[in-house]
Amino acid sequence: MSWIDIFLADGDPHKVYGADAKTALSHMMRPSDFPRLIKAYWKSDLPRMLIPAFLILDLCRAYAYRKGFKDGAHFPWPDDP
Amino acid sequence: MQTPSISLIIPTHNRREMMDDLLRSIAGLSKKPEEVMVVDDGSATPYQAPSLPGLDVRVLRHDSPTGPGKARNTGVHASAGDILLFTDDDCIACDGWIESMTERLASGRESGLGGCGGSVGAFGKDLFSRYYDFHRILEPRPHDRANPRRIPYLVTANCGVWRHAFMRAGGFDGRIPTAGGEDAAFSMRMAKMNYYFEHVAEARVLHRYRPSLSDFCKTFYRYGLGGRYVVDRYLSR
Repeated sequence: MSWIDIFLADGDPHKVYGADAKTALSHMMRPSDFPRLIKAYWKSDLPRMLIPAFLILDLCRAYAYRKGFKDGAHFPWPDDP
Repeated sequence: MQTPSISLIIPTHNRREMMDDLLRSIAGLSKKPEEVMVVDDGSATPYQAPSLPGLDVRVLRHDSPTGPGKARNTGVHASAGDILLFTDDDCIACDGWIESMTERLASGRESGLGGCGGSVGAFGKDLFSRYYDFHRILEPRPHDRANPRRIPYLVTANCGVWRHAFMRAGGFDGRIPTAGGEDAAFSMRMAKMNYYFEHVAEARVLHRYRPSLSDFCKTFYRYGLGGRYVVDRYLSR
């Protein structure tokens, strides 16, 4: 599973283990995950004042990863010599 | 088996000062690798390692950048150690790193333990470092309830593998020219050969994250690119 699922499972990877690698690499945060993410941050030991900044970084991260994942389909991967 | 020898492989590209700092941190460890192979992957100014007592450093060079995966392969092929340790030029080694990594590898050799991944903490205290640290982004987590040390893949910022396993798996996929995805692909190659991986919390390095939003986004863009490569080439057949 991806980072976000693990975190949303309150740090217990066993709760989400079972997804295959393809799912883990393909999945990134969806808008519907946001409320659960906020709740998870709130319950964690993260200082409250950092939560808004972390949420912004989560959005940037999800957008950048998705764009890279999409562009990767057409990226000119070189041949292995 | 005799005490395994250790080769440390580090690719670098245009990060002379960070590379120097990493080598100094390795020179200060209580246990040092038998050899350190620095692969200068086409830096604008060729890298020259500082002279450090007790550390045998060799610098290899690619004339143009080829990517960290291919650079690591170059370092491995020029090295001789039974155990291959990998880290990145923006990391700092913490004491106990080499002992804990190699002891765990040695204890699992007969059972098919192919590689171990260590802890990766943040060097800085800025917002980006705290984010990486909080999410432990460069540290695979144990995933198997029955085997609480097992991790699904290795991250090259901090991992060690047996040479024989590396060779059987064919090394890193040289077709990935960026940093991102090459370690997942390598782990899949190893797993295909029925090797497994374990986490060694005591084997710790610190990673310097660049405190800029632009670099943060570029990093995850590269991870997305590499992730797509791995999905298409390794997981879709």
